[in-house]
Amino acid sequence: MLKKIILILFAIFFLIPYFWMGYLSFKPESLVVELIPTFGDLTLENYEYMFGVRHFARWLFNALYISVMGVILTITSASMGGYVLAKKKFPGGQFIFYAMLASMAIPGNTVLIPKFLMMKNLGLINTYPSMYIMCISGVFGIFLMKQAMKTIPNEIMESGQIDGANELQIFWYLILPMVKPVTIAIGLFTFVGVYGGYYWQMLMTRSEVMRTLPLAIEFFKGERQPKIQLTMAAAMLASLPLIIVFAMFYKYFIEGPTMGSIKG
Amino acid sequence: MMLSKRKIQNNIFCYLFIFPALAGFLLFTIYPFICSFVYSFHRYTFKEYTFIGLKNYIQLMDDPIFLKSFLVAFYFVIGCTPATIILTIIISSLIVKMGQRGKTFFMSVFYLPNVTSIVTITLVWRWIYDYNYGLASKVLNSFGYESVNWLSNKYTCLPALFIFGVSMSLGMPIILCVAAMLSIPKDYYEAAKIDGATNWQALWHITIPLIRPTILFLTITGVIGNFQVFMLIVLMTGGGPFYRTTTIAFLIAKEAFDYYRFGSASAMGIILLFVIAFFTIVQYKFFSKDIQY
Repeated sequence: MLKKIILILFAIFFLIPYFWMGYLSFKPESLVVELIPTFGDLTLENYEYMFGVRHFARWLFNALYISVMGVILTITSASMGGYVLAKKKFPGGQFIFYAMLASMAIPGNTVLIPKFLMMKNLGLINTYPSMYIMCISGVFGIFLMKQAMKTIPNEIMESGQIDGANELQIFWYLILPMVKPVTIAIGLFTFVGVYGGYYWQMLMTRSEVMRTLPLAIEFFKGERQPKIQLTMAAAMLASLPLIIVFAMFYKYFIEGPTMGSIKG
Repeated sequence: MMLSKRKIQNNIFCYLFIFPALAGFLLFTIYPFICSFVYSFHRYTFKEYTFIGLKNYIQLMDDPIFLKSFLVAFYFVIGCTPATIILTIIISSLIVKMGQRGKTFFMSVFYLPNVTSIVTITLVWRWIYDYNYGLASKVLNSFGYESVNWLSNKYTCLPALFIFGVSMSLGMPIILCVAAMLSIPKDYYEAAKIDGATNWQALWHITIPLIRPTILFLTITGVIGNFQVFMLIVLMTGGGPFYRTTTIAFLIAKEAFDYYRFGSASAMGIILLFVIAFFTIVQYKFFSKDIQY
């Protein structure tokens, strides 16, 4: 019982910022916020204001669009690459895998500058592809995919060959359905990562219309110095797609990182 | 030495399948990595691109802000990594005792920051730390103390960021730690109970030794991650007050995208790379002797 109470206390402490974000977003505008929450004067006016902000729908669309494109790229490259790395032998395969693993130690900010200059020289700044194209090289996804595909018995591929299926058919009809949970998990991690991304998106956007919602909100705060209640309504709206996705798929988020490695 | 037709077909198929991932890897990791090296030997701005040898590196060795930024990054490693690991072990050992629904619920709660855009969650924390209207000041006021300007006070700016940073980073470690704890056979605990061990003793003598590989993994990734703290600084303090929260990763971005000195920023990046590689190897050598069973 005591353990449960300690755990609940941890959780409450942890949820305080989220509670205040939600609570304040429904309060009428004022500078002073009382320490003890009162629920008599809750209102939707902050949300109405945010929906009225110019480009709001476009910002939301931008964020969702680049996230979906990023997910498609990551899943495609990770499932195809992970399959041949886990199940096939070909010259250089091992080397490619270990080079990818080792590259995870490269600090993000070390390669940030050349990546930025590359996008600039290619004239891709302020376009959608510049914000999601990098997802194609998701090493983490390839690693998870390889681990998961290793656990598939070789007999399954052999049975496909006996039935006269070609390599593509084996991959599409036999292998992919078996790694569905990992595929979903990788897709979700990518979605959350791209949607919530900030710095790269900031470097890649020049015009106001191209901003993603989280990015726009940070600028919104800086430019107009709105009251805290408006900022919180904006924060709520920006997190809403992520929270919906999480509520629908929380199982995959929580089991994803340990898939393939623990269970046989 | 003729390769059989089947083998050639197999290889073609494999290269076609690895192509998207490999092309992305070469284009967005290996090529920029080589570029960083090359840039670091140049004076590179929007106006000029001239070879200057090791001059960038030599200048950095005399730059107090650069040297201090490593120290600040090191503070983050010391301030966040042990706290994250201790909290992870405590919370995980409490979660393992819950029923299936309890496990899922609490793991979701601690995972929440990972699925909230960092921009939105920093908005809340900036308000919490606000001098005039923030929650942290209000709590102090209600106990009769004066408000503190958490993020611009030279004594509180780092601890305030540590608390925020640790609370942001517990999700994934808890998931991994709970999974590791669940894989420990139940008999061990039953045997310990028969011998009269307390819960703390069981945690210390059974659980922690058996999840050592996970703790090692969390330590290495924690050190690497905390040494590169970046987004927190961008969104919370902008490096201030007086460079007290300017970490090396933040300084690289500032040098490159505020001052457009790509050459010296790249040199900083290369130094950071070597420091992190060194840390990783040392930690691995230091710990890996313990985990051979």
